[in-house]
Amino acid sequence: MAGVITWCVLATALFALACCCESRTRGAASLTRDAVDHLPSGICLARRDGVPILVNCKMETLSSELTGHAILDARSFWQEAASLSSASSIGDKCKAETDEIELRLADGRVYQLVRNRIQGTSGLLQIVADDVTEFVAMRDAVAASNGFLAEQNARQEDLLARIVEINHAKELLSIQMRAHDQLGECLILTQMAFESDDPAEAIDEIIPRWNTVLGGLGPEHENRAADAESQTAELEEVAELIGCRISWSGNLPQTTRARLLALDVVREALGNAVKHGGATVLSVACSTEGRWHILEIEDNGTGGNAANQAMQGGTGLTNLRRKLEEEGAALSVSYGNAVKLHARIPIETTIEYAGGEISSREVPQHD
Amino acid sequence: MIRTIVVEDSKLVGHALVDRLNDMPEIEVVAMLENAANSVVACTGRNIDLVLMDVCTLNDESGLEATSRIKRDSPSTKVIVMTSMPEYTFPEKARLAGADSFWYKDYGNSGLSDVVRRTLADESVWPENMPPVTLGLARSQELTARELDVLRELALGRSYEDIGKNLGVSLNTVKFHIRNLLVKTGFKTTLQLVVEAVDKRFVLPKY
Repeated sequence: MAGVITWCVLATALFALACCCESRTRGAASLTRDAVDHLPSGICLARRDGVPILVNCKMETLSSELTGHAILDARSFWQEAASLSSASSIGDKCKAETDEIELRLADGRVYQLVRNRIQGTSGLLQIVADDVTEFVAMRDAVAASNGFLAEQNARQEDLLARIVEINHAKELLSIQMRAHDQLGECLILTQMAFESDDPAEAIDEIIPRWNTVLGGLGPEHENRAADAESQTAELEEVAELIGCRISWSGNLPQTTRARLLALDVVREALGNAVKHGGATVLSVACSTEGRWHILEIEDNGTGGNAANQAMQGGTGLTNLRRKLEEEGAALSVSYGNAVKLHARIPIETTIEYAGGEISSREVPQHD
Repeated sequence: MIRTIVVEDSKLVGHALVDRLNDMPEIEVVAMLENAANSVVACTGRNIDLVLMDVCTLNDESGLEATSRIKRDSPSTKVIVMTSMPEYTFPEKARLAGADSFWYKDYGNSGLSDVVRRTLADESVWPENMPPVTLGLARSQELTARELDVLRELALGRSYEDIGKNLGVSLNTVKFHIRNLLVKTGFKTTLQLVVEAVDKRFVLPKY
């Protein structure tokens, strides 16, 4: 930019000089002067010894504001500007030796002065002054924002570190509670066994439970398998309580999230089958298809239309469908004498790592 | 016999409760469940007379939600909501869910058998006081209802603007309540306050 201005000014000045010398017409010189005065920057063109050749009105005004007089010597002007820049503490660019200085005026305006030595033209010296108030304000605002951001980042890092610490503590507490709970249960049962009529037989029954509990305190993946078994067993116990039997075929999803969703579906189907259809058997078929777990659930109920309408009017299936869809799964229901539920749940992928297993769910696109 | 289900995700506590209930000759515990959602299905047969329902159960299933569904489908089944958490909204939420009684497992003067018998006699038994909780320098009773509302919203991770919208107050009012919370508790940041409130189970936004 400075180079372009330099050559524009030089061309303009030379043109003016040429005009003055050759035509010596007052009109041409006046036009040239007018053109230079209308440049957006303040311009001072001087000889090598500092004697000004051409100074436009913007530079004259700036010089008056800074030094109280017109530019008599471009080199002295530069020195004065540099000393004022030092006083205004605008930045590092304040030494007279540098070719670029910034200075702030009393009214808040900021000027950038650039000094060039134009080679090949008898060592002419050019000083260009630009009003960069707006630019400096923006730069200061950006610097302030960056400072604020750096502070926020530091706080965020601090918070994250604390969250990690809290989660670690929670995990330890959970492990402690689980160990306490399961060992406590075994101790109570053992005590009851000793107090029973036939302690030897009772103890024999408890030993497998002790083995399961002690084994369960082992690796996490084994615990999850035990949890899955326990949850399925609880659902079967509930089914038995309401006079129904769950007939399983295939394997339930192994990953926690998918298995919980599958059990949600079975639970809802079980409740509806008994409540509306008087079912005594609920058949659950589990399989996989591509990246989906598929659940086909059918009951032997004889609810008929009235029961189907009651089921369709309830909120249970609607809420279940919403929950499944939020997890990327889907549910369809077909009504007949018996109700059939078809659910598909995204297969989760698992990534092994040294400390256990991380589960990350893939949510396939719906076909 | 009073056919009873105990919903309790801690097996140790569950067995202790069942032992206590077994001391009552009129009670027959037919199941001990860890998951509150299963208790809803268990009551489908309408032959369950009493449910002792924990609030926070396995897989984050809410005992309050299960209570609501049981009382809707089977109004004659008595439900006693029980908890060891001092969460200040639980009693009111249990009442709204239709629970017949509410029992703090480890606080208050009423024993389990007393609460069970009175509930079965169609009496509604509720604790007279909340368990005392100290948040920083303040006791929970010193916090106003509005401050508790704001604290709950903070625990849900909401911004000040959203809290204002949800509670129908201005941003300045939200800031006013937050300032009061911090002054009363002595915490420097809302994060410290929320961590303390959740850590002491005084606010459990999930339920």
